[in-house]
Amino acid sequence: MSEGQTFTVVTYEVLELSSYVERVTEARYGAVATFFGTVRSPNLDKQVSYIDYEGYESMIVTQMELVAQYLRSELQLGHFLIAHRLGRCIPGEASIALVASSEHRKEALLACQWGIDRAKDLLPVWKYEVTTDSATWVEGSSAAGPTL
Amino acid sequence: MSHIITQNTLPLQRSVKLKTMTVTVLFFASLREAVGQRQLELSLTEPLNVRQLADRLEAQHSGLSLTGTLCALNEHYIEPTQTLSEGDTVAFFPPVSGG
Repeated sequence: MSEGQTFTVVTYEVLELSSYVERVTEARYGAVATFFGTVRSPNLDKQVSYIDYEGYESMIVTQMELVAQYLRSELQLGHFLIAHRLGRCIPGEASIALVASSEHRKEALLACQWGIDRAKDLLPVWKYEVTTDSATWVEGSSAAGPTL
Repeated sequence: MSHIITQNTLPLQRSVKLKTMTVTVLFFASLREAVGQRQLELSLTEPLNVRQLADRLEAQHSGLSLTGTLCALNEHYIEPTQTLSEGDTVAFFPPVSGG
């Protein structure tokens, strides 16, 4: 049996969620799990107009591959896809997607859960959130490594 | 018979030029705003580690504070004690908030 494939996507376009699901779906894998993160509004009681996502594109891909390597070291996965959108997103639009297939449900579900937690810590992306009365860089996580 | 001896009395000139090293420095989000650009190319004449580079950048850019920032070397998170090599890309950025 050939090994499952890993796909990484960093784009300034709308995430093509249904095509990602198709990409990881294959008869020999009986489970497909998805996690889509979308722009929330209201956030902290403020109406969000949009979020501008800034990213270090090439490093995002490097870190996505590390996320995938970690998941594959822990879980028997089929195909795995992780995508992050950059640029301007409005409430309700997806900014991140993880889609995993596996022979049985547990691995695909865990890949999404562990994968999103790790991606939020590792991917070099920053949110600039604009609400009806404010515009701020969203406070982030420094769990990825030592700070200066 | 005349000999030119003056050359031997002069201090020896350094025949080897100081070797310079080029590194690329990237800033993102609020740090990019503080520096006013995303990318700098720097020539270094002495070996530096990432923390020493950060100190130098703070001295050169008033309003730039790198305290509490993450740093990456060639797209991997690293300890600030890591020494830089020719052609390296160093990135400084605030805690990440993707997803």
